[in-house]
Amino acid sequence: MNTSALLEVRGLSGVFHHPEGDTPVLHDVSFDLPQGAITAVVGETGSGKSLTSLSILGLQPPGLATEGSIRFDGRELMGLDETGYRALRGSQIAMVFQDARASLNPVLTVGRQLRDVARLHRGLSRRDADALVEQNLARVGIPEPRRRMAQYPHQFSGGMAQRAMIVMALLCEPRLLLLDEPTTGLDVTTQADVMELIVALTREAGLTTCLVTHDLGLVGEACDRVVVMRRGRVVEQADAATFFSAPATEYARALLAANRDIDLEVPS
Amino acid sequence: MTIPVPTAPAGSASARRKAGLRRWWRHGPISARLGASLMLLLLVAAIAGQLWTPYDPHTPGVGDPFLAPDARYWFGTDQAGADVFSMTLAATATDVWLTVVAVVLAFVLGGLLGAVAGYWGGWVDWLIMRTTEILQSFPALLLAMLLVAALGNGLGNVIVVVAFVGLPGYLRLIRAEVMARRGWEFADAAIIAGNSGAGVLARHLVPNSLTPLVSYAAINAAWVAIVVSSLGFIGVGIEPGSPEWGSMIASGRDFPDEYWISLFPGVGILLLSTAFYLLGDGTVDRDER
Amino acid sequence: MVDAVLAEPTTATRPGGWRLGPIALLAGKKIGGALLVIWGVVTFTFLVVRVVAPDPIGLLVPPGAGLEAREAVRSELGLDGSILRQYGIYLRDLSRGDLGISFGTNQPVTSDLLNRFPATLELAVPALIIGVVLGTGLGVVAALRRGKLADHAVRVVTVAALAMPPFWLGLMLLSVFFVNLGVLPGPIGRIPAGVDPPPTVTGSYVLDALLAADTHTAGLAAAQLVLPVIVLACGIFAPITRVARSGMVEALRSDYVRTAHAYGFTRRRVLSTHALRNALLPVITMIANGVAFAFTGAVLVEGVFGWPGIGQYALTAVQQSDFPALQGFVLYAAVVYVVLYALVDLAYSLADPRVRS
Repeated sequence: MNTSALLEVRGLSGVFHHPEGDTPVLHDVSFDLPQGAITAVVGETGSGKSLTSLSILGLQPPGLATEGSIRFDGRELMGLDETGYRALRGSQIAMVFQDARASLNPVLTVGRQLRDVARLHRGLSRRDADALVEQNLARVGIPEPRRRMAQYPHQFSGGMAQRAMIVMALLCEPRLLLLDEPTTGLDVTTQADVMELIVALTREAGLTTCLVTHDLGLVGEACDRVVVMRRGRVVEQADAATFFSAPATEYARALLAANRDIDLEVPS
Repeated sequence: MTIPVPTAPAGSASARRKAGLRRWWRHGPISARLGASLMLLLLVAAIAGQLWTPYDPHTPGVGDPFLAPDARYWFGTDQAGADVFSMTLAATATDVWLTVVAVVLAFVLGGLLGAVAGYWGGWVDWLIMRTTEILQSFPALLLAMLLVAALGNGLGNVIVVVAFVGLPGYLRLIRAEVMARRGWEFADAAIIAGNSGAGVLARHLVPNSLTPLVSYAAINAAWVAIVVSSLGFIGVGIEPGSPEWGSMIASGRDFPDEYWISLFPGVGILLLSTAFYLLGDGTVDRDER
Repeated sequence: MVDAVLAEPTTATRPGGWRLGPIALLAGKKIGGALLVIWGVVTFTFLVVRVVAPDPIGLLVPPGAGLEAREAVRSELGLDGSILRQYGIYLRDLSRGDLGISFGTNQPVTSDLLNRFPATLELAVPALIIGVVLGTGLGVVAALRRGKLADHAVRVVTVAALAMPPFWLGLMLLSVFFVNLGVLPGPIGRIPAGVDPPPTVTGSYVLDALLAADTHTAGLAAAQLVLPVIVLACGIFAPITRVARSGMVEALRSDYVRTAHAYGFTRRRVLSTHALRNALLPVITMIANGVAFAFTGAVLVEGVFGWPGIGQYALTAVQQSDFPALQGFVLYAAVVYVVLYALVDLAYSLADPRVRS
């Protein structure tokens, strides 16, 4: 792929500071997110993939000290202050998290939370924002969007809530979409539906997308590039076609094999 | 010539416990360490107060009345010329003892009833829970005052009543705990995996249920210490003038100019209650603080 | 036909329908439960007072009174006859609002309680306002500055307030501000002797004096309030602080707060719309506990300051074995509890959509 990278991560390292000592969790992580492409960052739990994606928006947990360089559209993000990050969050880079229901505020209606985002980033009136939210909820396949908007997160199923979160991201019209394990915790059919929706919407909008996941099976046809992380390091990165046909490292081969085993088990 | 010191085998229970304690001491929260130190200090004071005091705490006239604290009478003397330091020290045992025994009693009885309610369920549970609800609709201190007034004076009555008033809290906690673990699935699993019954009890059941309970008990004890001294202060249950911090404060109440008569026993209550509080705080899971 | 009717969901509300809605059913259950609790409290107290406690007659007749005199007093008080009969009479009187005559004041307990309630209220309201505002504020600040100096300072203050016996704190404050500094008045109740209380409008001496444009009396009454309010507020703010802090810490760590940050809301907005509302949900219960404490549990605070409220009435009743007064107080407390915790349920169903559905 010859397009330039929208996001470049270079030499990112991270250390958790405890009173009892330091735990390094990210080591010299470097990868690119090419413009308009879907890049999958895969790895097991604890590989540092989620921390990496959170660090892009400066959302890493307190106590994690990071170093290195993250450049978005040529601009350095490391060392930005709260105001600097705020200018990026949502409007430039939107993020969808794991466990959508917990990601929504339990005491506010889903409609209110979406409307707030639409008003903040689009400068819309209340009425226009509501109309836009309704339209977008319908677009992601939520039936009776008006009624749903008046409901609270606990009245949504996991899949519905994740659709609502995707709407939240799209409402901002970002340039980069970060998806942190967006389908974990959903049942298998819903996983496929949500994934399909993500791919369709991002392709349609030509969005640069980073999909963080532990599930290689999910990545399959969807992505253009694969970055493999293990124990806080990038161990392999390649175009999807190359990666799936000829993985370079032992670890990637093991991951692929494990995934195939699971696929084989499904029909039985 | 050096004689090899016999050491416990590395795996022995006592050695492990010692190592665990040491680790807790080193990494445990400061508040818990402070609480443990305070507690130790109070226990030493309680024992010391029974063995030796500078003056006889029960004898008036060891000095002139109303002497301010000085080098001879560290905490001053009261209206009868008794030494406040000796009295405060002698009273330590009363308050610590009353508090600890009442809490243990409430823990055990509440635990039994709670386990029964949680295990049997049905009408037994209904009856126990409604009774608990009724008891909890009394202002606790007043219920204690009422019951002690009805039962009459005596430290035994005070213990029974304070335990009775505190019991519903333990009952509810243990009931919930038992209901949550009705199946004891992890115990079954551990037994199937080849552990002995007692081992399972010691290693899995007790630690799993005990930590929140111990923490609750410690925080409850902080409150019980105040209730006990309140009873002494108003003179129900505990004879006025007996070596108890609350009744000492009451006897100083009529002499506001001689603040020391009330000040030092009050500090005693404050320290005891604080010690329990910090211990309770320290046993709470680190993440919840 | 019959099947179709049965299959209709019971929750459906039809115009002019006679069926009890689920809300009415729930309300009925709650009221039933509340009455059961009040009955239980009354009965338990009755049993303690009439069966367990020593015979009060000895306290009521002059020493050396004959058997006849004693029996006359006994029957006058309804203390003769079988315990069941006494219980019946007690419940009958209770249903008429008659709580008996206090041994101590020789007045009907009902009017005693009503006369003392304004004093308790005057103390409780400012203490609750201070306690709730201070408790919530300190808790939130501690959570925001978690692990920093402010957090530790708040923890020290909170633990000290929790571990402090209120009656001792009251005495020590009196010793400093009244005895030694002389800046605040002594424990002589609501108003100095010799000063006429203002004409009753609200029941609060301070407010009533202000309404009567009598600033001098208002000042005197306000000065009397300072120390007892501080001691009472001390018992109220600390538990609220703890719960507010842990609620806020949890909210700040939550996924939805992270979401709000991730979508570019200002820190201020994240805190006010997202974190605070969730963090303060558990505070509702603690506020209710504070109210219960201020209205029923402040027995010793009122006692230490000679405050002529309901708490002091109860304290005197215990010390004098004034059983009708005690029973009356216990009933009052039970009603306060039951009403209060019904309000807590209501507050949660308003504030938390998860409880509502």
